[in-house]
Amino acid sequence: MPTIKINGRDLEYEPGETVIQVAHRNGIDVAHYCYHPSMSPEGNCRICMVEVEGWPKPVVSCKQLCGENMAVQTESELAQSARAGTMEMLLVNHPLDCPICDQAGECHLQEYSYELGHGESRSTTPKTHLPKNVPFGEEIVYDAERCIKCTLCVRFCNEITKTGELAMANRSDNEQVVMTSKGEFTTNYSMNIVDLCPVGALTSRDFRFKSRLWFMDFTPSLCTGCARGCNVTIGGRGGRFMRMEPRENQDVNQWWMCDPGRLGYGHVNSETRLATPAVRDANGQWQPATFEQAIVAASAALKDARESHDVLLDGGATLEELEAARALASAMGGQARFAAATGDDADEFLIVNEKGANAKGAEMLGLERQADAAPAAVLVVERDGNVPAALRDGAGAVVAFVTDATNVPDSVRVAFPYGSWAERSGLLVNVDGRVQELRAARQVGPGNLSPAFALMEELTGELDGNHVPRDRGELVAAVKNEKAFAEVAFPAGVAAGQTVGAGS
Amino acid sequence: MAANVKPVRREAQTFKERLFLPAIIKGLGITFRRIFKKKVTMQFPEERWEVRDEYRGAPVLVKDDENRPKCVACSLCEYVCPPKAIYIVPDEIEDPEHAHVERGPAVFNINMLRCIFCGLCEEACPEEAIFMSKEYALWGATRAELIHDKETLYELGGIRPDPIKKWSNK
Repeated sequence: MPTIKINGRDLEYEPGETVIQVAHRNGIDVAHYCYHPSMSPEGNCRICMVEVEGWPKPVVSCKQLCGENMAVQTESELAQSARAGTMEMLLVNHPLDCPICDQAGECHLQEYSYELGHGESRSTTPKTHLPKNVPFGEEIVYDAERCIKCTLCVRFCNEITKTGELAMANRSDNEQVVMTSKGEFTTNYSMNIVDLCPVGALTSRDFRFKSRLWFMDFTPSLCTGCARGCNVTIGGRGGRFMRMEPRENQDVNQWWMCDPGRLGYGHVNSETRLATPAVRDANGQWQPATFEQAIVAASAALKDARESHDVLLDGGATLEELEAARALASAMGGQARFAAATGDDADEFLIVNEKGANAKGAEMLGLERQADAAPAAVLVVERDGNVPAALRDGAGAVVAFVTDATNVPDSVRVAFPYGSWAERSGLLVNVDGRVQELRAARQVGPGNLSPAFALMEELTGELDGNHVPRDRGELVAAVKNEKAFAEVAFPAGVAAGQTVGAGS
Repeated sequence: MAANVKPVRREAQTFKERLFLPAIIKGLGITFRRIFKKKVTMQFPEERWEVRDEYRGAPVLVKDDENRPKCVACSLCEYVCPPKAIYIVPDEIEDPEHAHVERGPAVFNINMLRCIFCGLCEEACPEEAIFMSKEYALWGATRAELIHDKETLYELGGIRPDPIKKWSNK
């Protein structure tokens, strides 16, 4: 393979690769705004300029193809002065409103300005004023003053979604992004441009001004809006789910996620979340209980249950919960089933029709899918979509694990709080049979929730004196021993039974 | 009893001391002399100490000379506040004419029971919207009264002229 010299290191490259690609692959940091690995390089921001030895001028590394015997310097005096000059140019018209800008804290312009900037402007002309607060569709707000015209958002709509809603208009100081005649986004992936935007020019209507970045805690986890299992980062603050952003995983979602998934966290912040176990007293009134009291009451209620001995689970339940539910059902002499919604909005990109985030895992464990109302003794419900009211109320269950207190059917005697997907740790199998780890997000949800699989294991132990409650590692090991999972790779770390990510 | 205890003998009072009257007359003399001198007692709270300009009293929010709030709810004071006395909920200003101002606080509370009067909020504020006032006499009948909300803070702060005129200038 041919080699190129970057900062004195001989690095191999494939013919056709650009300098920045080789540098990034080898851990050499090259500043960039308008470059994104998924899109054609445009070379308009000029911040990625590097020196090639023997060449008269610096070149943009995102467009410069590698050549044999080229010697590149990313930190030479020429490269540094080129970057500093570019930075000064970009800041001529950029408003200094970092204190009110949502991007502050994760802004590339801010970072490089801190690193390379002058601190003072030498420009004597007043800054140009351009439209602010321009709606782009329903979910995005554009600020033309902050925009550095990198055109990433325009290229995203042209090259990734191929819907072409955005274009550049005007020239020079008045250049700005405009919506084309369509006026609305026709794609379900529009909000990715908010993440792409290297500055705070594109902000999401949903997250706008909700919280400064440095108040939030971020946890790498998964989206459970559909069975794709997009890798995401969840941001939480003070028990509230603040936002969700895609996390790069080339095998699942590349860099992207869909808008419905991103905004599908309403039930996490519900005002009517069930936060403590509740038991119905002799008069049928709900009384708060400790987990221990609730376990005892639940086992008594289940021993009395005559109609059914089955467990009905949400299609988003983790493998650990499914395994614990199977044990619980067999201790009662019934079986575990699951219910999950199916949509009709699948596209060729990420969204799939299967809405049960772990429906594939449940099927692999041999659980039956339930479509119509049928009796069950235990209910596990997170999303109304997966377990609609008809199934929920039609089961006549006596014990329920619910996320929202309004979802407790009348027949239930004991209700346990069930964390939303953002508060649970566990394994999910996506639509392609890939096992991925869901991690409980920090600072999200009411807190102090016991994992549902642990509660179910204790309940099983209460019903069946011979059953020793298993911990998470043992449950995962039991799943791994299933024939359907023999060939499946599990995420590292979970294999040893470790719990990654802190529970809230 | 410890060995090194030293008994002290108190001297007996003299006849004059036992009378007490001379001491009383001496004391009254001091009192009467004071009556004709300048008064030093301050009638608090009607009268107050004049504090110096750099005095750090209760933190307050100010408005500019157009009576517009200056705070943009950037939450930097909330971040810097050592005892976490400040609580802010930012909100969007839905006013197309002032789209450039964009945001302001929906809720701005300072818990004066927590405040340590350090002045870091004033120092951190990029908009010169929060100041340490000269107000030092803070009282309340309940704890809730000592949590200053946005209205109280603006009332205490009043107007502070500002050459920038953020709202009217674009």
